[in-house]
Amino acid sequence: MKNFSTTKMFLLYTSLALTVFISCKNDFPVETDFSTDSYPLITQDNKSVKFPEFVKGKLVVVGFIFTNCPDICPLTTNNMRLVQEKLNAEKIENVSFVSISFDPETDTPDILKKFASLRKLDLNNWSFLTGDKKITDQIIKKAGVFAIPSDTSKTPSGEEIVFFVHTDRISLMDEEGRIRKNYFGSKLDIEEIVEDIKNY
Amino acid sequence: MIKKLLYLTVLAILLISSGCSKNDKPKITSDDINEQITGSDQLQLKNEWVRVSGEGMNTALFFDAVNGTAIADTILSAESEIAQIVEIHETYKMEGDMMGMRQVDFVAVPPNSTIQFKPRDLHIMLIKLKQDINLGDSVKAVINFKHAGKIKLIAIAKELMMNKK
Repeated sequence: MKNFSTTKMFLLYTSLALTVFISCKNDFPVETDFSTDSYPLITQDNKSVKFPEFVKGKLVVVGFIFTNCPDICPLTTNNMRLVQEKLNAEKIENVSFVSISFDPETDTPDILKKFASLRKLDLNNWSFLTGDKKITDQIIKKAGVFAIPSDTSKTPSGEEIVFFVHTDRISLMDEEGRIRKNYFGSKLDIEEIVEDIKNY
Repeated sequence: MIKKLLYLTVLAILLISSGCSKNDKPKITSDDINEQITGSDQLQLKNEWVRVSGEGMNTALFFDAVNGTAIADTILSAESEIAQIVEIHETYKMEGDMMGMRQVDFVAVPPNSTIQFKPRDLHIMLIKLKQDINLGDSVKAVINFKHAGKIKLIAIAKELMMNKK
């Protein structure tokens, strides 16, 4: 009788724990599944990586940017920095940061490195990625991010500076490479994403 | 006696006239001068700042155009030695979470109003910077108004988060 009660209690607790676990995960349905993909990209340090393989095993805050952007992308980048600082302050590790350029022809590794350096970003767990435009196009298309060349300005020497109409996006990716939630990048609610990371 | 009366009359006239002249030309204190510069009856630029960026890149410059006058004015253009191209731009929201940016020809500044050049909104676009703008650096620019003429500004470089609201 005693053994039967213990077994019943064990099953009850296990099913309760499973219910809580499943309901938590249901708060973060899969938006886009990159888990079986492997895109060759280059970091700001000219290091070749496979995305998202190289960050698997960690939650990843992903931003989509181009460095010629004067307003939205710097705000998105600064918001990612604020998330990083808050996680560091709360000693939450196991989170990586990735900024993917959708203008790789302009955004060489050196440009990305300078973009990060000017802002004194902590690149210990943050990579800026560029690569072949066909590859970055595939990634942003799959992520549901749009980047359409629009206005241009010409320098006195005739050089054209292209600006993009683009999706204002930061995404939260799980340890397997699945995007679980999207946020407005330039007006991110820092508390919201940090709570999401804690509760995931 | 007549001499005495004449003397008193001249003295009275001098006293009265000195009193009058004091009322006509009040002494200007340093506070008064300050009031003339920063008073609300001016068109002024306030809260000037610029976002950090690097040589060859672009950035945005922000400020408040405070029109304390009863006359409408218009921002026609901007100038700065720090960039190859200086334009008035605005960031605009499209469908969903899409954002765009475009050049605007002018910005109206109605009487007794403040027009804010701010993130996700109007900004002075500095294209192809001739040098790095690091945190704390100062950037000089001139804003050209239709009526007020050229107003100079000095913007401090920083990185500012956007309020979610």
